[in-house]
Amino acid sequence: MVCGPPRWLSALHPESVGRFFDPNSILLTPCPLDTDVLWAAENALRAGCIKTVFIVTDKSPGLTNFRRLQLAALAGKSLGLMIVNRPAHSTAAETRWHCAPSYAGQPGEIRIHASLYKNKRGNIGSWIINVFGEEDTLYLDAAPAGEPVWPNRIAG
Amino acid sequence: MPRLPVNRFGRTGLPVEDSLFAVTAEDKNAVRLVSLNKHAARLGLTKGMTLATARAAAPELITVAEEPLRDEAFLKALQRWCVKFTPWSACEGKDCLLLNITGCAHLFGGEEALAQLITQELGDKQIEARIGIADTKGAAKAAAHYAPKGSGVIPAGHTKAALEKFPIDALFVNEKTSFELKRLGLKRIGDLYPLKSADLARRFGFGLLRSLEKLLGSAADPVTPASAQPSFSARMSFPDPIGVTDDVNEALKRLTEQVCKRLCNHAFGLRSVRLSIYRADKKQIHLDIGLARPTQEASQILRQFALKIDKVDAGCGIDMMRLAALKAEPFKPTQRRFSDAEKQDELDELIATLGNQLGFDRVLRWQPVASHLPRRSFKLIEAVQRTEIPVWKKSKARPLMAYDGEPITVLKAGRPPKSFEWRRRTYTAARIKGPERIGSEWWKGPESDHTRDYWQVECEEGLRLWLSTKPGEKPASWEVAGVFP
Repeated sequence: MVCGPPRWLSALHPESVGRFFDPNSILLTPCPLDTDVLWAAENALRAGCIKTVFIVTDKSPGLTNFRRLQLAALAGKSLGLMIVNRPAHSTAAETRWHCAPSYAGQPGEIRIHASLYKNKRGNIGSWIINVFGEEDTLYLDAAPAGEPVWPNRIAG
Repeated sequence: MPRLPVNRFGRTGLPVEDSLFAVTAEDKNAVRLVSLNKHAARLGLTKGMTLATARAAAPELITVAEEPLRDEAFLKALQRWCVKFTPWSACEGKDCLLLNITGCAHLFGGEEALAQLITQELGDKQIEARIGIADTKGAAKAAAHYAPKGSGVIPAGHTKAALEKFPIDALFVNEKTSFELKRLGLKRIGDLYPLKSADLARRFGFGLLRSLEKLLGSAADPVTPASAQPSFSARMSFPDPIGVTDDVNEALKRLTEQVCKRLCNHAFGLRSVRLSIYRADKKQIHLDIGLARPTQEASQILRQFALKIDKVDAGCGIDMMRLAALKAEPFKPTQRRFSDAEKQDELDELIATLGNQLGFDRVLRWQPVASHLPRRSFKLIEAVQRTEIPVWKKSKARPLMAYDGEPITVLKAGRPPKSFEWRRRTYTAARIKGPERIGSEWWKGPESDHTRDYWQVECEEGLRLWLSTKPGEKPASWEVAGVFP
């Protein structure tokens, strides 16, 4: 399930999403209000019938809201991924990643530079991930890439 | 039932028979009378008269605005009540009921006796009725409207003779035809008998001929019985007004159980249901909920109401509660796959929960559309409306995020530009793939000007963009049509 602002959701192209997920299994809840986004996400996380909930917001929600989402995810045993436009702060997240596209070695290849710069139960790190294959045979090839990079707070 | 709207108001407790009383509706740019009581009719007021004229003639006239939906519901209720006379009935127009009493009349002691019984029983309900019994539907209708009082029964086989003296309006043809007929001096139905049907058809078209044939029984005109769909609703009135949440919940539980039991008996499932709460101060509150899949399960409906019932303001107490299905669909209990059954049920419930809170137009799924334009090859439909699971084509050539064309500033020209600025950041093209030309949908007319050349551009900064330009445009303007993963 993906919930977020309508503008963002209407830009998602299902034919491309189909490379990674089955478009038929995806539920979209566009909500113009941030509170609605959080409410929908909390219900979906708690329900347990949805494996992953993508939450798209501009700003990361406050600590209380974040903790609510986390408890809901624990209750429903589901994964919540929040895509935040601006640099996150004061969140109760388990892990926090900064993902940037990276120039690929081969044409047409997907390469992502993922930095894990907050991890409550483990080490931080940074990886270059090459993505091969399709939905059924998705193959990630990760190579460590030194110190993690995190976004500049002033930029947000 | 010539005064059905007035009679219905009378049943609600208004003193309609005490004085001049009329029901009004807005029609043809004026407020007009639609139904009058006896006193008003005796004074010379008629249906269709404007309220201003009526007021001028009778200043003490009391009027009430028409409630067409309630009138319709009332007529339907009367139709259901008519099952005690015959299983075959239908509503006709705004105030008529058609009963096919073939083979039923003898149970009530003959047609005359049946007519009397129905008049009397409707009279007990404060409804005036005029009854016509005849061989055909049209003849019965004509008899009910135009026969002198007490002679509405036309014996079998005497239709033609009996209708002879009826005015031409009893044909119930359109206004223009009946006006033309009267203008030619054909004022009674009997006047039409000696005329050749070919002449009538030439002058007035086949419509008149058909109605005449139907009236006399030479063309079929069956009573189409209204669907026998039962109404799934339950009502609970309280001896004393209630207000505590637990009481309301308990009442709702009982109502839901009743409705669900009836649904089970008829193999129907609820898709949408309304709870009407009638407060002691005559205010009404309506709560609507929808469900993703037809259901007969009381607990599921209750869970959906639980989110909304807390917000109800009971005021000085609730007198009555009514639960009614707005939309019921045939329920097919199917054996679902063992592994997914529970998941699917949970998902349906989640969709219902989200839909009831956010609106069902905010819980969406993708549906493919037969179009080669990247932005038009899919649409969003309500998740509850998806009936079958579509098949998607996967494509590496389509971006993950497709935009409607965001203009870029070209810093270093080229085809595509070697360097450009987009969203206040500078990018340098490293690898390009293309062009791919996607034509417009020419059948949509000249305004579908969507022919574009697309390039997949990998930037040195890592981003993979989909750049587009209009072919043949000088100087070329460039847009970002999407971002690849």
